[in-house]
Amino acid sequence: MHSIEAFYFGVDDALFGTYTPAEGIPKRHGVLICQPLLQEFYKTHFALRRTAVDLAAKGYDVLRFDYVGTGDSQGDCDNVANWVDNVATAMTELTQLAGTTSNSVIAVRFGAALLSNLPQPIEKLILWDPIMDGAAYMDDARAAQQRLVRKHRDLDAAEIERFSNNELIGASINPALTQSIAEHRGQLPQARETHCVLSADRYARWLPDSAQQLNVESQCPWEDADLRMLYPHDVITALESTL
Amino acid sequence: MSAVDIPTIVDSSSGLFGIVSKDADAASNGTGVIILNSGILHRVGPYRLHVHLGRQLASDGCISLRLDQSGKGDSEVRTDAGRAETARMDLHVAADYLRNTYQCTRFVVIGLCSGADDILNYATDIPDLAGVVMLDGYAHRNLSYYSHRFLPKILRLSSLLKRGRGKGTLAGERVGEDMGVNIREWDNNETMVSRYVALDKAGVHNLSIFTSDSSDYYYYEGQLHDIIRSSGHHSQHLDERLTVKAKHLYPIAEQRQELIARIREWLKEKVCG
Repeated sequence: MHSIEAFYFGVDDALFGTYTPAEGIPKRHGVLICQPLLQEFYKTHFALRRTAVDLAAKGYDVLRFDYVGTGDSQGDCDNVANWVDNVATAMTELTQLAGTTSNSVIAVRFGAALLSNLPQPIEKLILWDPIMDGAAYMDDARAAQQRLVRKHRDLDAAEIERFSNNELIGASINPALTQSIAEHRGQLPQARETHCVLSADRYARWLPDSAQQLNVESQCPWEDADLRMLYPHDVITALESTL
Repeated sequence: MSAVDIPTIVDSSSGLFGIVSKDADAASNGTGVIILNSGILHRVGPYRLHVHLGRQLASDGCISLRLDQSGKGDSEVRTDAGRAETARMDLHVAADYLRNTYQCTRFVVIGLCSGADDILNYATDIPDLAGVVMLDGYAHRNLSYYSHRFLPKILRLSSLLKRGRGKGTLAGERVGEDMGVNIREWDNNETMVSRYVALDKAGVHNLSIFTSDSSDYYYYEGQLHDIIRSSGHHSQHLDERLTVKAKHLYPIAEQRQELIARIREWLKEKVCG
């Protein structure tokens, strides 16, 4: 059985975290997993949980966490800067929990855009289909919301208008938050190595030249607003083997 | 509202995990509410439905547990039992945990999709079970299903269809499709209906809510009553609702909030009142 510790941490204990400590001979190397948002959060939970367990079995100390106002975390988020701070807080928590001085980050989709405030240089930065541009991300999310609303064939015109404009993939829109996301341009932190696992070439456009790309065959339909689980073996294998 | 979430190992021997919500400011009503996984989604539920539901029920004085059933979310896979036995053990262990840790004296189980199936298949014998909430749970087509769904078309009442239910699920769509897998677990009709009857005879209150995505097998409010009545039993404790505009996973926040409000009111009136 895998040892998993779940707890709340950070300011007001608002952040929910799941820590999977190293098994066997520890590598003294922490891995922070930065999840995606919106529907992508649900789609990837199983895969990232599996990744955490596999990495712990290889000797890594792994922390997953939910950003404020998402998942099992508390509170509401009214600015993307809160989520950027959450990443820094989580890295500090991981370092204290595991006692590691060497740490890496796995970041998925818009999770990659939230890494700009990490408190220390990291060893390896591993990205899965990153999206660094908040405006592009919001465009995709709004388009997905339109498709989602259109699936409701019994709505009247007023409801279609309201649900299209006031909601975003299952959440009521906080205008301040969505504006801050649209204005956000993620900055990748300093890392000894940057790797990127890509299911489509278009996600390579925000990467630095030094990043090592690994293209996989699996299709990752991020734009779908449904909650279909993604469990692409080649992606997971790539994330784990890159470490 | 000041609900506190407590990550909890419900059973250390099997690695069963969940999150308890309780509210120190709310007077306890002695009710433990267990919220089951929807398909293979983890305990957060679709679009955080379970998080908001669990916390708001805590503010009403319940102790809620959003459970990761074995093999789902952050719970371990049980290797010492089959699917049915595992599902039953999970539910009983969760109820025992709430009874022993929080002194709950009665229980309500809530499930959407496969969670609703698990209630009907495995939760009916939980001691002190007082209520169940099944969202897009089991039903089957009866004669009235066909007449409600197809008679208007046969009579060419297309104008009525446009105002009513006529724009329901397309052929081939199935409840649960949005999660990408077929996770329904239904025995034959007679067996499934007998479980509804057993619940009702045991005095367990049942709130069954269906969405338009269930129109492949459920089409009019009262169909579940009719199905149970056809077995020779008149339901005394069944509240049945059809929410035509909602989809299976309630992706519209406004509709989700209405669902939560409906469940809270029902619980206050039928179980906790």
